[in-house]
Amino acid sequence: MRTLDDFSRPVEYLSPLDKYLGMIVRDWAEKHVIPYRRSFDEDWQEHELIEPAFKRLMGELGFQRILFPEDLGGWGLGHSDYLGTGAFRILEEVARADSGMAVAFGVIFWPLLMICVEPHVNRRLCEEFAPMFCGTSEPVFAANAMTEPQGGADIENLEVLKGSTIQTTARLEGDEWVINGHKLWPTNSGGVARLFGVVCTTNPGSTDPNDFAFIFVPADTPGVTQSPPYQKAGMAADKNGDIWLENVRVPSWYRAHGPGDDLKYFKEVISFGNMGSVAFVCGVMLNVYEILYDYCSNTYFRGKPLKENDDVAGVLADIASSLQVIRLTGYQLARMLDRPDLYGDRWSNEIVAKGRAIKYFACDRALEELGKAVKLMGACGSDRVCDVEKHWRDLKIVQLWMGGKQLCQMEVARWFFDCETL
Amino acid sequence: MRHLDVFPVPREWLSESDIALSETIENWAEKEVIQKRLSLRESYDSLLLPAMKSLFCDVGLQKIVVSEDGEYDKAAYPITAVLACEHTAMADTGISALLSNLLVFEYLILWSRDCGCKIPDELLKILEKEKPVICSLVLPMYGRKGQKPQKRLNGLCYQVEIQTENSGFFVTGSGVRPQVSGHDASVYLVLAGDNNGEPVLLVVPREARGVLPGEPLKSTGLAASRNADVDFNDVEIGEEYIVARGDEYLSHLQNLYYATSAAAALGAVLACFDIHREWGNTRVIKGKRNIFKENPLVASLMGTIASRIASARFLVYGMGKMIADLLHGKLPAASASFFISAATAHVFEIATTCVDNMMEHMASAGYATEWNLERYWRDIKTLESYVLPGTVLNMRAASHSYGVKNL
Repeated sequence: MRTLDDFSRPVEYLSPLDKYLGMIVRDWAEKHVIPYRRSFDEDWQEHELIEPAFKRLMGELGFQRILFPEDLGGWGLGHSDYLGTGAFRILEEVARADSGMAVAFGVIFWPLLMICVEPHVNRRLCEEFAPMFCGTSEPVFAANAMTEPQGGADIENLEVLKGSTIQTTARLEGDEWVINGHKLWPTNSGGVARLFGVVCTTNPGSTDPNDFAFIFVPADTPGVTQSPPYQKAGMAADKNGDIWLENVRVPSWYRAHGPGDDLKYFKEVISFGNMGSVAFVCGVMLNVYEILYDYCSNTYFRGKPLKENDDVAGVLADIASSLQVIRLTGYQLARMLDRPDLYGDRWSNEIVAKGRAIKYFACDRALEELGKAVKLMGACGSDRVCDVEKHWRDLKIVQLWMGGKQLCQMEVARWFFDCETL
Repeated sequence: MRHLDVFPVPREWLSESDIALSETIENWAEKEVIQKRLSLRESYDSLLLPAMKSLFCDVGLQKIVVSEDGEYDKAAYPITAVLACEHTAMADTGISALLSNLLVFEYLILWSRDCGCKIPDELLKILEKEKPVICSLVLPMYGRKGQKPQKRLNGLCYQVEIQTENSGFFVTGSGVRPQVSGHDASVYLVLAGDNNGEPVLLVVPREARGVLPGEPLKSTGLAASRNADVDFNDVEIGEEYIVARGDEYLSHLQNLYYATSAAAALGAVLACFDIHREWGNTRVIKGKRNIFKENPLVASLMGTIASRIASARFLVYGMGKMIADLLHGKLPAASASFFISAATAHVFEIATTCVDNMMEHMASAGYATEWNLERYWRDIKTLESYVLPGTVLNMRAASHSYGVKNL
């Protein structure tokens, strides 16, 4: 009998720890998430069901520590050659159980990437924040505060707008940054995160890369307020809300790197966001494959199992083919992030554009296939008892975030066709 | 009539009473649903059930055929039905899905009058009550191991069987999945198989002994439809509850069900169009005070969406017109059934694609409950999965157009 593990991966460049990390997360998913996930939608505000599973994965098993250096209590993945492929496997396994949990978990590392990853480790900030994540068995979340009300994805449109639309300001007063602004939609907002990475400008309206600032703000800093989470179509495990920053003061060294480098390394965050998105897609599709395998073997049409009908088999083949291609492509993207010596800097426009291309291809294709799966299963497809509809709902926002499809298209066209005015 | 100027349908297909009905439903939608849903969300008891009562009883959509002393023009009914479902769905797709099932039931009553069949008086009387009638269609589906597939059903299986014993009729079925509202149905309109596998259309009142609806299933959308699996444990019914036998009824029932369901999907997309249009007028892109809709990439997709909606609307009303023509004997039944099932599949494809594209434009806002787009997105997908399961429609289309015989 075939299983999800029969979908190919490039085994010649997987992490030596891949097998063990995968087993640990899969075991966690089977015991702590999959039996409960059907009720997550009703738990979107309180997280009474979701929180214990996070506690197990992040706090007790320790996955929230993976980026920090070993001497600070972390697992040292930030200076590993397998950061991309290792993270891909972990995120894929979490998303197989619940892509909302995968997003909330994965986004912890978004702001931390700025300071924990070679070649741009900020040792002082690692020492400052390591105890928050590594010194506890409780789950601790972080968030990247990017999007703003007036322009949505314009913040992420770095190459053209160069931060000129950012309205959140950072003003240096003595040895402190004073931050004012309003952010929307960060994953792990809505009262969850203990640490924010805030995208700011030191000179509103400027296109000078030196004026782009990425500053860490602990959530309990005076002047930080958060709204309750928004209600959404799915992704209950991922809370999103408003963050208001009013005369928020943090030490000047809470800025990730400084003029020029903040913007440069922030593009690396986008690259990892692209890779993580593809990992979420893979995890979801792997579980949909498992569900379809069972359903189409045990449901009968024309007197034989559904999967034994040629026309149905054609649809199943489409789904399997897409998964096979997306998984291989996703791991290849992860490999490209692991080997900048071969493929270029992770923050380069080339890697960002190629990541965008793979991300939006994977999302479009996966949503198309999930739509077919829901339709193929008839009434069972849209009932929560089969979980396919949950994956279909959850996955949609993976396609929409980080600037959505249109921004992906622009960045891809801009790089591959040398467009100059998009 | 909403959006008639933007997405036109031939005016001569609509009667004055249709136009009046559209305005009545628009008023109902605004007052009973749209103004209240921001605070009441998708509450069944506080929002959806009162809205249903208002539409079905006060506006009178459950009384279309009983209030006319049997003089109602059957040929006018299909267009009125698609118009009602389309406009209702602009407020709530779930209520429209329930209305679709109810209108099929009423259509059957109209049909039965011509054929000399008699619908029991007690069933007619419940339509006159001041309580919303929830009719729940039970149609064939995929089977389980050992169940006999039916060739006339393109390989699907009856969910319910009817047996004759000692001049009584007994209805059986376990874990039966209706199209809508299994939990709340007043009546089940069931397509069952008899001892010989012949189709039998019958009505089972909720109160009949042996009818056991389960707890509501958690579903993707259609909150007004609290669906549940239902057991029919040797439910005894009188002969008068057997409405019809044979294939002819099957195709008439299916035609109207498909057309009204497609109308519901279309109405949902038109509601999304309103939301999307407002978004395009009020947002900026690339931070230079560029109005969202004025960006060429955005406008290009908007144009595609609008073109698709225009064709879907024409198809939906075309289905209504075709059913009416069929009643006048102007069309071969097989051609009409082919067109209607093919058009339904096409309308659902358009609806799912359009709302997907709109959500992509609106990004996270499209996904948030506050903007309401996401509820229509969930509703359309749910409706599609119930109305058009699997690949059956393709087989029917191939049979009609290419002469495929054995599938």
